Amino acid sequence: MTSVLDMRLFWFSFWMYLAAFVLFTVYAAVRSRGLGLSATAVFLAAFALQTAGLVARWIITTHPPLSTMYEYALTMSWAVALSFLIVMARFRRMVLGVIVSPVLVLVLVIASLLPKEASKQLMPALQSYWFYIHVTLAACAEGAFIVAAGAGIIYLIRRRGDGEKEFLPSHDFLEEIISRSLRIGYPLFTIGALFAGAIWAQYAWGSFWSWDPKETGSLVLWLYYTLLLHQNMRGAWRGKTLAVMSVVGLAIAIASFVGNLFFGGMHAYV
Amino acid sequence: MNEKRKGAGGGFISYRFAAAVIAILFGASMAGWIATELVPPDFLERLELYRNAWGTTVAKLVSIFRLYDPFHSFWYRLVLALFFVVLLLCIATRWRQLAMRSWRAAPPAGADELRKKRFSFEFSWRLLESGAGAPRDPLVRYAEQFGRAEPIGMESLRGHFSCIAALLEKRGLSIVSHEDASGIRFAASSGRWRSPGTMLFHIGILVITIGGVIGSFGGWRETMLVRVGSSVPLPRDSTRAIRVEDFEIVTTGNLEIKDFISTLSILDSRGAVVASGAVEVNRPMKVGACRIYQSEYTIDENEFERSRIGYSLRGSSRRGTFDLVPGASARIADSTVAVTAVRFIPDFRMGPDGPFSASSFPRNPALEVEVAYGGETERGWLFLYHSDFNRPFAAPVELVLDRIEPVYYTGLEVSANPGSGVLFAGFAAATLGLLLMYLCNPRVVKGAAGADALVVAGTEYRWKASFEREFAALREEIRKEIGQRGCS
Repeated sequence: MTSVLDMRLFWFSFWMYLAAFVLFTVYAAVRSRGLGLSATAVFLAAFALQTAGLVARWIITTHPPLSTMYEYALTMSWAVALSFLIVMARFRRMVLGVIVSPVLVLVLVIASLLPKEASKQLMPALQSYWFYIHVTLAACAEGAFIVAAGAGIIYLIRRRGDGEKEFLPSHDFLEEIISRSLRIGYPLFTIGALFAGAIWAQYAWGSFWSWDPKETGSLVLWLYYTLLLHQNMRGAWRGKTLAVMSVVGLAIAIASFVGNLFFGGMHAYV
Repeated sequence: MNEKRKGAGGGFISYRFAAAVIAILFGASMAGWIATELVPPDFLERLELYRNAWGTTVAKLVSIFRLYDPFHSFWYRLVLALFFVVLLLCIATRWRQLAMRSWRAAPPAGADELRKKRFSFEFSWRLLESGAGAPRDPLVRYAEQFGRAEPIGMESLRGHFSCIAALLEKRGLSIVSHEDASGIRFAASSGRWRSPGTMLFHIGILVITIGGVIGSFGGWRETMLVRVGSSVPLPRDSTRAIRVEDFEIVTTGNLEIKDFISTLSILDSRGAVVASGAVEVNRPMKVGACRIYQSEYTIDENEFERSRIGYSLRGSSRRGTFDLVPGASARIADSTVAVTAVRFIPDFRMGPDGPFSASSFPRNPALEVEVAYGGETERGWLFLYHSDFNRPFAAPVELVLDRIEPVYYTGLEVSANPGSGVLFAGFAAATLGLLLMYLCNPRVVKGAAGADALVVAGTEYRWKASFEREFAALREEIRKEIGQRGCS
């Protein structure tokens, strides 16, 4: 069954995010407050359209939009956009949009390439409340990792003491954004992707852990962020190292996310 | 948890070494992840083929390091064992240090210890009391100029301290204080549950690892395909058997699969039913120490219970139906036409090598029949859902497939995991630990309020920038509050 309304809203939001990305880029170049506000307004409109699209898909399919990779990517990008808007509302840093909007466009481009069939019927293995816990928390966690990577990229772009201070956020501020995002993402990922996933696997497949490629990818990602936070908490990986590592973490997260397209296994849903 | 604190608390395993072990486990898992994609799992069965393709050395290395199944290889198990031992030692040697940190912070020994901190400030009481815009007392100004702050009385000091304590409590910090002849020393802290949370999380991961090991060595799982109506012995239990009473594929109107349901009976050694129930995907059935899961199903090609064929004789108004069972012929009434079932395909597709079944699901059931008439035989396919594609026969009869009942084999998985209770305990401990670790925002503000001055220092354990803002705000609040008190 194909739905028209949610697809239209998806494409509208996609083009709006793209427009916001262009406006944020021009804003970064000319540093005009008016342009920044326009970019933020377009971003807000895109977010509203995306939210409407998600709600429409939820109504059409009669289940939360989490059952396919397209829906997962959509929900994850929505979580990223929401995080950005919360950070914006709190810290009034429009420049973060320069990084968040292209990342969002990238995720939505990936989503646009995935099959978008809307099915009312969840496959039997997905008919469990653990599905909603597992996938929602994993999507939010990966959204937080994306925000951390975005802040990491700005951290690396910003040079210390070169007169950019007024425009780009300070290194301390960016480090706090990275740190907070990781500290939000890590527990969500641990509880949602690993623990809830393992418990659900026990009910659905009779085994907590099967070394399925997606499971292994999640373990690799979890170990990576465990190492990163372990080092960060003991004061070893801070500043530039933290920024670089958060960007590398996103690369592993993407590999884990798209892995089931190539690796197969029990998580081979598209 | 920085290096200085590590040095102060001590521990058998250093944080750096623990991090190195996590890094090794990360690297090993990454290598295993990649290896499973590069080396097919059937490597051993087709060793000769891969030896020819990759060369003897590479094939030998793959065999030695078990890269076709890396997560059960000796090297990965060695890394897991190392991780386990290091985690155990970390917990065993640091629990006291972490538990102590959960208690309330102790007041400082004196003002000097506070002045060394990164976040600290110092106020002279008299200057504070005079307020920001108030005219300064010339005596105070003179004394301050020559490095001697003007002292205040004990009663005023207590009043000022209660004012500061109220400000700190308003920020969610709990206070302990100590008063002596030199003044009042205090410590205000919050989020002290983070340390027990850290400990609990580590214990949880350790328990999960133990549960995994127990499950790995003591657990088992077996899958079986059981035909509806037949029985199989319960694996690893010689006294009981499973009988599949029924199997149902629940579908929506457009043939989307909603659920698979197997109705099972558990029989004792005499064949009496001791338990029964339905097993669905995500809803296993518990039998003693093991669980029975609905995992898959299949329909065997060529095998079906019975089919119903509709017919109409050409040149006659006669119509009717007859049942056809595998291996038997049926003669159509008032004619010499005989029909025999040849082959059944549950999900008919036409490939380059002829018809095949695309899946085990009866999405496009088709029955090949042989029609015998007047000494001639001909074969053709009859389709349940697409009768337009039915083969027209030379014999004076038109056939349609009205119904077909495939023989279902339900796929059951029977497993037991003695480590599952341990794993659940580990999940619970680690989840609680994580929540404590990340919901608590630990910070400590210590102060020494002497007769002449106030020295305050703060320590953050998480958010440097936000604590800096909070500490600056606290400084401003104290300045304003004491200034107002002084003016009033």
